Amino acid sequence: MSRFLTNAALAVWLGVSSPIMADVLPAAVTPPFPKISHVTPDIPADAEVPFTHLKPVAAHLSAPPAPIADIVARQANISNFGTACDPSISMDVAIDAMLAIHLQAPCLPYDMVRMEHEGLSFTVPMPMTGELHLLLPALSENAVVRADLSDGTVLSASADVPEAVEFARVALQWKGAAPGELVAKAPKVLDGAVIRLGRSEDADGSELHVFSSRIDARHATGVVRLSLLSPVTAENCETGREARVRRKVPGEPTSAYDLKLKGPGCNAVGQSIELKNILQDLKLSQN
Amino acid sequence: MQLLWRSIWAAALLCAFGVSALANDVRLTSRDGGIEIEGTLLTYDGEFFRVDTIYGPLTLDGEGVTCDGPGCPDLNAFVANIRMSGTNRMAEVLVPALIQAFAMRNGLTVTREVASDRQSTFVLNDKDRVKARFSLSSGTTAEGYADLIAEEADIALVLREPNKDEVAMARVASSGDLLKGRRARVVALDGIVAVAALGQPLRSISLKDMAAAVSGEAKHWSDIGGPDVPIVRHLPDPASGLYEAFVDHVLKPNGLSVATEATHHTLLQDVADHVADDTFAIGITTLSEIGNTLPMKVAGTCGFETNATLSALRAEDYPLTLPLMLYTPARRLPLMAREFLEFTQDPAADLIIRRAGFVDQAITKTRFDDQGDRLAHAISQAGPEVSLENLQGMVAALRDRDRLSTTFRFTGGTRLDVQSQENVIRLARALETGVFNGRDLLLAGFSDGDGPAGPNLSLSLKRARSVLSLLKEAAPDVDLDRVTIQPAAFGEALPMACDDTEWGRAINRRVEVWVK
Repeated sequence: MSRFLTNAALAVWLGVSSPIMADVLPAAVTPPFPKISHVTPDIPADAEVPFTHLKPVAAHLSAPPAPIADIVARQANISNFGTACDPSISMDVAIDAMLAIHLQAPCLPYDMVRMEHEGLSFTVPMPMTGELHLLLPALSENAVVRADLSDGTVLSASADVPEAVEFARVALQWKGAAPGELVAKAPKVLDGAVIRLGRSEDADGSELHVFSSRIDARHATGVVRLSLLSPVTAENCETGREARVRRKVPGEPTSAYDLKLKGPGCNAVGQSIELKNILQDLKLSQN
Repeated sequence: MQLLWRSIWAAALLCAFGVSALANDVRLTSRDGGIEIEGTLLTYDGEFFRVDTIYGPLTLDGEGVTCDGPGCPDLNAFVANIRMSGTNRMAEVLVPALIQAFAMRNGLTVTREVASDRQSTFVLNDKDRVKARFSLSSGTTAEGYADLIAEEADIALVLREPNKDEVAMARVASSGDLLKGRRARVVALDGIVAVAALGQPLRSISLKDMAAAVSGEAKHWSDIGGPDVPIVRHLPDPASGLYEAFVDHVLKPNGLSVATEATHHTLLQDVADHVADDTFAIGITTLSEIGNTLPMKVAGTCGFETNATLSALRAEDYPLTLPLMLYTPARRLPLMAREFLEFTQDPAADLIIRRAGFVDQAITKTRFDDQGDRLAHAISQAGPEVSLENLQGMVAALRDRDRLSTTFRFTGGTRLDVQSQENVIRLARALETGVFNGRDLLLAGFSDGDGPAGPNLSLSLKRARSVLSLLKEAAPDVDLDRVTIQPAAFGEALPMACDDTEWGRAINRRVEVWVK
């Protein structure tokens, strides 16, 4: 019993109670019932209830006050972050003959942008902020880059990249969903890498894979094997897929051509086709 | 229902009249209206009509006639279909590069339709339409000849001339005599090379050791002058023309064949890639496909070493030169195909060939001063057969001249090999176009050192004279008042290889061209 009392005293002191304690000690926690209750008055059945008739006021919606129109118009051209919507592009030359592209389209977050350079393109989604930074290997000394935004805006920028003459670059544009891979196998002594740009998720998308290697006296000579790896999906097993190649190698005339890879049939879905002989291997030498 | 009946009627009518439509009745009228020929159109190749007439089949130039009748082809919709098949040595890199360059030169764009690593079609377009389709099938030389005989190819890509079986097969298949006329055109040159990884200390090898190492007779590098480690062997596909040529030129003369434990690779680049990764491997590949390995020099027992270089291949001074050839059948090819063949022989194609990693046949010069090695050998080999006076006479004749890369070699007696036949045409063309006007050309005949010096000297003069007459035959329009061509003979005075092997003697039997 003494335990109950201790509990009750504690509960009172703390001002709370558990459901169990509520059963045991109701008086301690239950508020008192009201002593008096007011009765609702009876309205006689024949009593008159007056109605107020409201007259509509003519509203001038067709011609809002001038200052408000200005605000609305201004807000339509402002992004979620309060910055101006106007899209813009700027381009700088970075080291290793790369193009540092800065694209701004604050009012088109998440939209796909198509970037185009030397007849090759790739699609890339705008980030939430509407600001896109990317590095693109220059495929010519007088580089022009074009951006097609989803609202139809076309932006372009250009830059002179004299350093581009020192690079051997083989670019491959994949079109459509499930893009393939440009695979480059080079001996360790050679400097070179495949740069992947863009994201392609549907038939309108494209990715750009560029193998880039500097050719100068400081670097070793050797052969880089270039091959294609193309996944077979239910979409492309019959129709095949399209790609585009641009090869810019010092001492060689620049060549560009289209590739159509035939579908191997739908029994091959899930496999990847490796094509070793379609792209000419790169022979890198100092002369 | 009515529609169905109509289409059935239409189909029936088509069947009934289809026969007459297939008869391809044409009337060809000359531009001035003077001559009219009627008949059945057999083919139209984009340039010529071939018509079956009451006079027999006639071929008429499309430029000179107008065509009337249901059989007339749509002249503006003609698409040349050119099928090429044969060795992957040419189909992988060389021919695609030539097609691309040919298209670029003609202002056409290219789309390459890829069915697999072995099957591609190059579609050449101008602004409006498809102009030509080059289909390319990559396999072996033997497959190229087989497709040519079966009329499944218009041009075969080959590494050798047709063998007896193929010639016989062609006769049976009535595709005409494959050997009739000059049907092989050398497009580029390549060399068969033994390769080793960069770390392999042994850098030169005699053909005999090469045969021993590849066949498995030599099990360790120490057997051929290297370190005591087993030899790992990577070889080309046994069905390939390259392998056939290697067997014919290296293994058979040494009485050897390949034992079982060697690895054969369908793709030649795999040979190079495997060898590059293994210091103790030897590979047989071509100069164009050495990848990241180093080719080994070919050594002779008497101290000569030949490297597979551009100039050595051009002059056929390297013993394992491999001519890459286009072989055409004895029938007319579409205009576009003929233009392509012509392009492959054009000097403009030389650059493409070199950039694709092969050796072109451009005529280049080396100075007498750069012949130091050869002269040193000539002096060291001099003796009772070749006297000091002989050497002094030769130096006096050649001293103020440059050697042309064009060299003539003989399969036996005075019959030229394929590459040298091509050289006759190349040099004849250069003479006709006046490249050597005002110059003095010396056709210097040499012999091997087998047998006494006297007959060798007269044999070398005979070879020089025979080349001269072949040149005059090939260049009837050359203005002999403006260019001097004379034969000369030096016998065995300036050997290029050792005379103790058959290949060495073959290298030494030659006619060089020296210009002043």
